[in-house]
Amino acid sequence: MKKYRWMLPIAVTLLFLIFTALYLIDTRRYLTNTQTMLFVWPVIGMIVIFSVFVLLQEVKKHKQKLEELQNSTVVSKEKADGATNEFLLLFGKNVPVFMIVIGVAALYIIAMETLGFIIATLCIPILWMLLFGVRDWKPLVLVPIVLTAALYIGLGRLLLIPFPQGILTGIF
Amino acid sequence: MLNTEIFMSALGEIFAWSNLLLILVGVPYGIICGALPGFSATMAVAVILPVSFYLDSTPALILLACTYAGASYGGSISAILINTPGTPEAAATAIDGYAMAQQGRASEALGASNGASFIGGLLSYIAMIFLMYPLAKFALLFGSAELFLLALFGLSIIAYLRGETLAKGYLAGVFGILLGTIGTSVNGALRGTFGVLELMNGMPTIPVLIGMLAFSELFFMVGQDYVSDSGASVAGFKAQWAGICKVFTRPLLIIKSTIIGTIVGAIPAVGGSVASFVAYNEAKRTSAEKDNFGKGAFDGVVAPEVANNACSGGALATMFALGIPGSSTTAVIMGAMMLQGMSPGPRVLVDQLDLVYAVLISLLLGQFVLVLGGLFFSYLTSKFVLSIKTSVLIPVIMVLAICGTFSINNSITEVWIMLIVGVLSWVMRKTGFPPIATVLGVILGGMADNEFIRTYIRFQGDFSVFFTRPLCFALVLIIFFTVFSKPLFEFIQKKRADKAKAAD
Repeated sequence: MKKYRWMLPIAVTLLFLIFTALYLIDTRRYLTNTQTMLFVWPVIGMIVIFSVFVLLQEVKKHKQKLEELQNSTVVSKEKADGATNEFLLLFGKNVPVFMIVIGVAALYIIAMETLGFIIATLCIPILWMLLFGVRDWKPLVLVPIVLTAALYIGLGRLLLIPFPQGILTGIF
Repeated sequence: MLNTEIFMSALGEIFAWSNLLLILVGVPYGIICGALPGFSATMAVAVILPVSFYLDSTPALILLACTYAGASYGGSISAILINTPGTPEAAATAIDGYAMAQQGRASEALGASNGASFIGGLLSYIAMIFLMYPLAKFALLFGSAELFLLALFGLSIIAYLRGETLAKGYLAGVFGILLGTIGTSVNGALRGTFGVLELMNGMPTIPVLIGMLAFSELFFMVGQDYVSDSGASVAGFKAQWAGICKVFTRPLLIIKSTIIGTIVGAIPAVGGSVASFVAYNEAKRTSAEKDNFGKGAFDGVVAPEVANNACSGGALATMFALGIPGSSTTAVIMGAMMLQGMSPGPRVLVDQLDLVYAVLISLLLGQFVLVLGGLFFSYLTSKFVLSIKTSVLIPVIMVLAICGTFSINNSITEVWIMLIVGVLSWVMRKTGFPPIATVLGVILGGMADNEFIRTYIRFQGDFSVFFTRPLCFALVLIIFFTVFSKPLFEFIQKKRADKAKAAD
């Protein structure tokens, strides 16, 4: 990972450029007249210009760092530790937790669609809390029940928001 | 000008216990709705609309207007405490408000937003009583060219929202502008929708806001035991009161932001989010402590909060005086007026001036309820947010954010958009790109794009209009100064430093 750490801002910049290219391709399918892109073209132009700037800056920064590393004779323990796991240094030590949080959030959305809002909201917060290390039964039981009841009554019943009912269709 | 006789009669009508009760219900209800992520002022008013059918015209309008005023303020509470703007209008407040909360100054920030909302609304409603008609007429001077430049002025703040480098700030901002142009353009062409139906109306602002600011923040919270590890205490009444009082030491900032908010609010279809960013930009531009903005500047909370609450006065002025809704919320209130058998427009100021005054007086009284309700609700919310461990709080906020996003348009696609944007925002923050610049681009980019095309069509491609219309020219000068003053100043300073170094 350590070799590629400096490439992460570059990857984000490239992501912006790829999205811009896809935007253009998609828009050209429907484009009817020049007015449509009147404002968008300068915006795209700026994205390209600033992307080039960022890319050059990052490459320059990387080269400078390499030179500094080569010139320095004393490598501190801190630096040495960092070099072994620079990805974690950049993204924090919570990368796996972050992945899990995202995964569970995605799972919640899918569960909301398939199992329904009530079952998903009763179960998924428990999973989240367990992953975050909550072991006390009180929050594990009370939080999902209170949250589901409050949202069901407040948003679902009073404000008539049609939450997905999933497998409970016709029951609630 | 003020018709004293009718004003006094309206004043007498307001002090009926039933009307006072409606103020007491409407404002706190608005605050609670505003504080919920994804629950906008428009939704708060729309939800309570059926209740107004059972009331006479004056109490009905009092209830709706007070709900509107409360919701305009409520969004700032969640913006400050958990970086989750309850309403798009509070996005600018989150920049410095959340930074203050992180530094253990949540009480001061909550007090600042409370005091600023109070004074912004108060001054705006007083201005409405005296200047309703001329104000509404002035707002209509803003054509497509002026609106484009206004959006551009709001966007010029990107110059200050630098991330790790200036180029990264600009790139994040222009990328946001591109996202803001997604959807159907004003001339009917589809752009960047990728076949997603939900994107035809444009990039949904609230899911982007929640994703960019709230969701990414939750990922950072994962490493902490509590929301604020810097010893932030529950927002006690005394500490909040100190924040409220501190607002009044900034009279110039208050007046400037009120004028911006009231005028922008009066311009049809512009809204509080534009007003708050424009006011924030202006506060930063003229501040002696520019570098403190974005890092917990007190003025960075005051300016947007004064402006977005003053906006409601401007929007109601246009609605009452000209029959044109200044925002989606006033459009709902206008619908309620029609259902009550009234026809908003200049005739209201002649035939039903007592009703207009009654609403304005109730809003003025509502501002005092707002201070008390704000103090109490901020205390409760901060107690909840700051005293609960993140291991329990994060799942609760996650569920609220997802359900709040879903409830905007009952769309699961928008929830997915929020999640994707949240991940993108987290990566952006970690790699030195400021997500707030992207948020700004999404909010103002669409407006800039639409108004630019309108200007092109209206003036048949003649862009000299930006320099020949007086308002346009004034805006061009301000934008030019805002964008180039900082780099120019930095360049001059660097040159001077180099010279001094060489001389040594």
